Amino acid sequence: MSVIKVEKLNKDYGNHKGVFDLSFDIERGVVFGFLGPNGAGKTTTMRHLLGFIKGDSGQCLINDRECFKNAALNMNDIGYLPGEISFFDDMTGNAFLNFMGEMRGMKKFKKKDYLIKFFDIDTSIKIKKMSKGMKQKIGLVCAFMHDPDILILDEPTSGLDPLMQNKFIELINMEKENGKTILMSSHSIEEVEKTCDKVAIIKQGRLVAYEDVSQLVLNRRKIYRIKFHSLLEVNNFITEKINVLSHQDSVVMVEVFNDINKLIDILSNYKIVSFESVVMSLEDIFMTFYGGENND
Amino acid sequence: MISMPLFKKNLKSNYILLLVFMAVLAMYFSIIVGMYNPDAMSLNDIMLQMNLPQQMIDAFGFSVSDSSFSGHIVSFFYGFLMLVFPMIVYIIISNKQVASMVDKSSMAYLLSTNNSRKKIIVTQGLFVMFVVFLLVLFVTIFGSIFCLIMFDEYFILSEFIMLNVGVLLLHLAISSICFLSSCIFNDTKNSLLFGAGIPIFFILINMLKDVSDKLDFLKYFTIYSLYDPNAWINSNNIIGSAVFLIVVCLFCNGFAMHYFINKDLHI
Repeated sequence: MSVIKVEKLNKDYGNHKGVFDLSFDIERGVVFGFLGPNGAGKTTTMRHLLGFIKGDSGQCLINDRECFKNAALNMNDIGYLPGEISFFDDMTGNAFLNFMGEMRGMKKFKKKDYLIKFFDIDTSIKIKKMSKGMKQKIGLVCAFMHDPDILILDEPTSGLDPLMQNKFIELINMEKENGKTILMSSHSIEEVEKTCDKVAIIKQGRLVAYEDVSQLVLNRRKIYRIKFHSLLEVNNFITEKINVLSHQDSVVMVEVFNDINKLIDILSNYKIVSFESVVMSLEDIFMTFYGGENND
Repeated sequence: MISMPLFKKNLKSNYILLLVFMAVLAMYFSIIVGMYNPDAMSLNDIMLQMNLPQQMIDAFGFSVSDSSFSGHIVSFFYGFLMLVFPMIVYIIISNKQVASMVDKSSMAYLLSTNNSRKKIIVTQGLFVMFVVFLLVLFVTIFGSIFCLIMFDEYFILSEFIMLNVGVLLLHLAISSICFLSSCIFNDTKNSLLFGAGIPIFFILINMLKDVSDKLDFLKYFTIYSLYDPNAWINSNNIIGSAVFLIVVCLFCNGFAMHYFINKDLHI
């Protein structure tokens, strides 16, 4: 049964902003990654699901309930992390979390205490004195502390240092084991790979891809930058049966689909200085994933 | 119907502002009402002797036609100060209650709880009305005690209470305009442009109309004309304006809440 369902949703802000004819659904227990560049409509879609805005046409359902009319009822099951962090500045972290707990009529605060320890937060500081990362952590505690079945997280790792990003991934995987349904938006394909089961790419308000993450990883094109010890070796290497994109001095760029073992085998005969993968933009990844199909 | 945690939070983040303005109101009340001396010449004459132009004295409502104690309170406190100070408080608070929260996106946190928009907005609106009520109640109680101690022989409690009931209705009506503006606009700038602009425009017109008889027609352009302190003291001819003020208050608050419940929030 789908927990979150978006059907032919349209919201036109003019100037190609908004969401257009967007449909997808998320089954119970699935972690769903929502990828796309800035201004693609990720946040707009989430606002529809939370009942903050009404679509021009189409509908959004959570647990089969229409989102705008049943916003308050739906919130019983939802934990939300907004993309823009702005709390009530004059409160301390702890006062804010307690206030949110009271607003929700929470009785048990065990999970809150656990999460504060988990993220190692000092909650006695006034929120306006906190760094961006600390505020983000407070926001995460606020989204998870009432132990909701559905989590809607708008760029959850922005502002977090790498250590805390890993902690976050740990938390998501823990919640996944507990059967939670999670919708999270992100810029980072790596983060999505590590946490999500399914992924949707949105561009200019339209869904351009919808895949299982396992498929994505399998078919992913990777580019590696290899630095060789000598030019002679470079000259030998580029004659091998491998997709060389470019080479300059002792550095060679190599493209690999699916199977990296072949490359490793070949490389074992060479003396190399360094070997690193090149970070690719989302669009690059998906253009190749869809065989260069024009999605515009 | 309302969210108590939110109401408490409102109280917590505004109590300093309220205390400061209560202190200011108490101070002005004590000084100005304390100056009453039935035998001495009126303050109007004193001001004229200070070479202040009569028009300026009129604009601030300090011209006295009635040398009684009630007349003194009406002219010097309910003509200008009691109109302006509470207004400043609810202009600030009305904007904070909704528009500023939407502007800063902190409204998203309130709405991500299992409280309906209706419950949130009713709580926010009632808090503004509560603030107005609290300020007027404070002046009524403080004023009554002050006058009973200082001017026992001139003070008529029932008249004073009626005077304050009138000013309460006036402020409830004007504060509803501020709240409406806060609910309609999504940013502080526009919310204040109308939420502060309209009441300030009204009070300027109110001052201007007193300057000269020729400007008397201006009374049709300000809501302050619906509050005639002398009429309230005598409980004379007040029903019409009272009903009108209540209607303004109910309509603006009702429309504000309805608008907020149905609007798109980009938070």
